[in-house]
Parts: sequence; structure tokens; C-alpha cells
Amino acid sequence: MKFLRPAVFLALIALLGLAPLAGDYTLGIVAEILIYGIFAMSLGLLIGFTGLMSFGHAAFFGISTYTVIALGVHLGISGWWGMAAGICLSALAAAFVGLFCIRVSGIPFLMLTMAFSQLLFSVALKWRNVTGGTDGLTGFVRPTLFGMSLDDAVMRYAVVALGFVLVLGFLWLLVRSPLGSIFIGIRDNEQRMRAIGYPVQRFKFLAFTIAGTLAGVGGALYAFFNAFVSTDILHWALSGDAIIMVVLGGSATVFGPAVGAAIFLLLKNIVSSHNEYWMLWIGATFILSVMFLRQGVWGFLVGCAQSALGKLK
Amino acid sequence: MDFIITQLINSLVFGSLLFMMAAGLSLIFGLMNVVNVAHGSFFMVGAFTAYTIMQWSGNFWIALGVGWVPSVIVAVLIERFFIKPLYNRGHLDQVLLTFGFIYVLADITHYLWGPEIRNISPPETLSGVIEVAGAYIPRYRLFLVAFGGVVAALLWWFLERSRIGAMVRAGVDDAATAAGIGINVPLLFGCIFALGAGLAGLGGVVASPILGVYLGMDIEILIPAFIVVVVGGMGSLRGALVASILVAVVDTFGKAYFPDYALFMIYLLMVVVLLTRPHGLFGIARG
Repeated sequence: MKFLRPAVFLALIALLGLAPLAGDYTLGIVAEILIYGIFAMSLGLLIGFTGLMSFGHAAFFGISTYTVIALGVHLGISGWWGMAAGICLSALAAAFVGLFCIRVSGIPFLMLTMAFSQLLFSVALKWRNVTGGTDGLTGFVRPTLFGMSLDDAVMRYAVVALGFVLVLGFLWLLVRSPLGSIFIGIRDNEQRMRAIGYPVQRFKFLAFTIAGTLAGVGGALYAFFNAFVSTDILHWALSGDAIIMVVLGGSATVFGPAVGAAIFLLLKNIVSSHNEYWMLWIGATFILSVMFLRQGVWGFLVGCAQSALGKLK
Repeated sequence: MDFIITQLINSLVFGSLLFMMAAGLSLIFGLMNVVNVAHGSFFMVGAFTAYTIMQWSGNFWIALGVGWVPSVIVAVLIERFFIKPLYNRGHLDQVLLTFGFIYVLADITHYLWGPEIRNISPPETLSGVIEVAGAYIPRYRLFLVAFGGVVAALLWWFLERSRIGAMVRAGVDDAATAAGIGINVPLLFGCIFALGAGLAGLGGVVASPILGVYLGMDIEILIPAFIVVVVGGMGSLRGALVASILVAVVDTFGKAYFPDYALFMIYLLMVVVLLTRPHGLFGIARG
């Protein structure tokens, strides 16, 4: 059991290291999967580990993307500074929204998070001077690293992959830390945690802010990847897609949501190349997974691996 | 003055549509703690069915009479084969399940009817305008207000005066005790789910002449309807009625007086209500 996690981690790093051999097109898809993987894992921290069903997570992803690109396009600020600013802004926004939302739970929580993200969506829609509205913002110049521009697909991929590994490592450490245990305790039995004497609200607030900040990391990387942003990034549909990714992959594991992101994006790519009805396939897959595979694809695989290893002993 | 009257009528029109959506949503939640986020899809299916019936017959009254049937059929299938097996899970699982159906039903509608935006004209007898205290109001809008009122009254009569209504109220108050005295709560729930879907479908039918018929109308009505349910209090029909009108008034007047902030208004209303009364205006705290 103990060596399962390091084994997965090493295999993942090996896979990520080999990916550039597959050519620029595949590399683009992998980079997109990794970015959405970061986004989905950050939401997984809320859904799977704290029991908070947020329906407005795209807000924190989008704020960061907008910050990076708007600073670059309007003020000519380098993407790296933009990234720092974007992640900070996401953290601040998540803290602000979290302050209100953690006061309620269940469906009202879902609705409140959605309301805040819709408010932000309408701001982006109306504040055309800065955000470009529905047309979006073009003309972002990607930053350079060690003298090489991120316009190069491999460089871009390397930065994204590094970000992914860092976020994954951070989350793995987090859920195994005492703080992670408190989050899981809140998910499993909030009243008991309260009775033991934990200030549950404060920890929910902390989880919400951390998740928003990590989504901001994903958003900043998305700005490098796409070099373009429009209001779509704040739309409720992206928050919904993220929920699908989390559940499809497995909400009770850290890595599961990233697997879900891969399944989601691959399914979307494959189906879209045949016909336009990818939503039908995603929806049907999702419904079946909620009904029959509630632990998600990754959760299922981990369960299989664990029972196989258990038999060996 | 006539401007205010026009906006007031528009509010009542929107309020009627919201009520037809929210009543079902609220009862479905009240009875079984099931949150059906695919409720807007029933609305959309109703509108598209009305369009097809209008193509065939050209008669709006036929559309009104049977246009809600496909929504009910879809709802019964979903309830019977998908929601029922999940009764024992937490209500977030049902949110996820019905969320999947938003995608599925949207694409099936897209497949059957195509992506074009369609329009339906109101029936002959209801076209044209009427002067009300200096304001010119389309007849069809007045009909819609009256229609919403009749639906609300019938629903109230059904819940407060009929035997099945009494069972529903018992189930909403305390499902376990209701089951204990011999009420078949799952069957009752199936019926209420179908009734709610029928109301949503009917809402789609009557809304189609003023909103048009297009993909995406499911979410466009779902979000304000959910705001109504959350503001009014889950499981409360009275809450749904009051909040429908409240949300519609805020939305309509917001759009008229502060067009730049129109999108904010109802969200702001919800945020304020939820932060001061987490269970909504008429909701009861649940464990």
C-alpha cells in the first residue's frame, strides 16, 4: 500500500517527461488536460475532501487568466508578474467570496457560489474596456523562460507540466497533513467536528481559499497556453464541466479529478471529430458514473490495486 | 405612469412563468429532498413541442392542451429508472445525476430540432394590444398573467383541499411519519415529479410566443427559477409564489431602470436573502 503513491508519482513524471516525443499536436492536448487537471483537482479539494459543492469555481480560474492577459495586453507587464498577480487576485477573491458562502451549506451554498461567479461573469461582460467583453482580449505576448519564448510548444508544455506536478504534490501533502484530516473530518461529520471543538467555519473558509488559489494557478497557466481570454472562461458551464471532471475521475482521491479532466477532454475531442453531439456522450457517461461508479474511474482503479495488493500479502 | 404599468405587467408575466417552474422544483425538494436541476430542460422540451404542434396544426390551443405531455413522459422515465435507484444517497448525488440530464436533454433537443431560433405567434384571439390605464399591453401577456393566476389557484386548491394534496403536505412535513401511517411516499413522489415536470412543460408552451424557442432556454429559466426557490424557501409553495413575483419585479424593474446592472439584480437579491435568512423567506430549517 505504502509504495503505491510514490509508484504512481514516478510513473506520472516518466509519462510527462516522455510526452514531448509525441509531437506538438498531442502535446497541446496533454497541456490542456494538465491545466484542466489542476482546475479539477482544486475543486476536488472542496467537493471530495471538505464536502463543499461549489458551482462557481470557474470564477477563480477565470480571474487569474483575465489578470495575466489584461496586464500583458494593456500595460505590457510580463506574464510571470501577471501570474503572480493573477494567483494573488484569485486568492483574494476566493477569500472574499468564501467569507459569505461558508455561512450556508448544501444547496444554498451551491447557489451562492454560482451567484458570485455569475456576478463576476456580468462584470466581465460589461467592463469592455478592460475585458473586451464577449470578443475577448487578443494580442497577449507569452513570456520567456531562460531566453526561450513560451511560444514554443515544448517550453509551454514544460511550464504547464511543472505547475501540475507542484499542485499535485502540494495537494498530496495537504490531505495527509493534520489540516487535511480536519477537512476530511468536516466532510464526514461536520457536527461531530464542531462538538469536538474545531472552528469548522474557519477551516471551511481556509479550504475555500486554498482551492480558489490553486484554481488561480491553473488559470494563469491557461493564459500562457491560450494567449486569449473571453467571458466563456467565467461562464457557469465551465464550473459545471469541472464538477463533471471531479466526479468522473473520483472525488475521494487527489489525483482522480485530473483523470476525470483527461476523460472529459479526450471524450470531447473524439466525439467532436465525428459529430457535434459531445454533450450527449459526456452527459450519458456522467450519469452512468454517478449511478454505478460513484467512486470514479481513478477511485475504482485504486480500489482494485489495493485489493490486489492485499491478496498478495 | 404607463411605463410603470407596462413594467408591472411584464413582471407578472415573468412571475407566472417562474412560478410554474418553481412550484414543481419546490415540491419535489420538499417531498424527497431531491434537487432537480434538469427542471429547465422540461421547460425547453415543452416549448419545442409547442413549436412542432404549431407547425402541424397551426392551432395554439392544441399546443396548450397537449404540449406538456412529452415533458411528463421524459420526467417519468428519469424518475423511474434513474432517480429512484438513488433515493438512499445524499441529495448532492441527485444534483449530479440531474445535472447530467441537462447535457443529455440539451443535445437530444439539438438533434431533434436543430440549432435554429424559432418563433411562435400567439393565437388570433389573443394578438393585438389592450389599453390599460394609458399603457398598451399585448393581449397575450394579460392572458399569461391570468393563466399563471389560475394555475396557482388550482395548485393551491389541489394541495390544501384535495386528499392527495393532504398526503403531499404530510410528506413534505415529515416523510417518515407519513410513510408510517400508510402513505406510499415514493409513489406520491413519482406523481409530484411528473406534475412538476408537466407544469414546467406547460410553462414552456405558454412562454414560447414571448420568449421564442431556442437551445439554451433551459438554463435561462432554470437559474432564476432556482433563485426563486432558494429565496422563497425550499418546500414552500407560498414561498415559491411570493418569491416568483419578488424576483420577477426585481428583474424587470432592474432591467428597465438600471440596464447596465440588470444581470446583477436578482443575484444580489438572492445573496442578501441567503445571508440574512439562510433557509429562505418561508423555508423551514432542516437537519
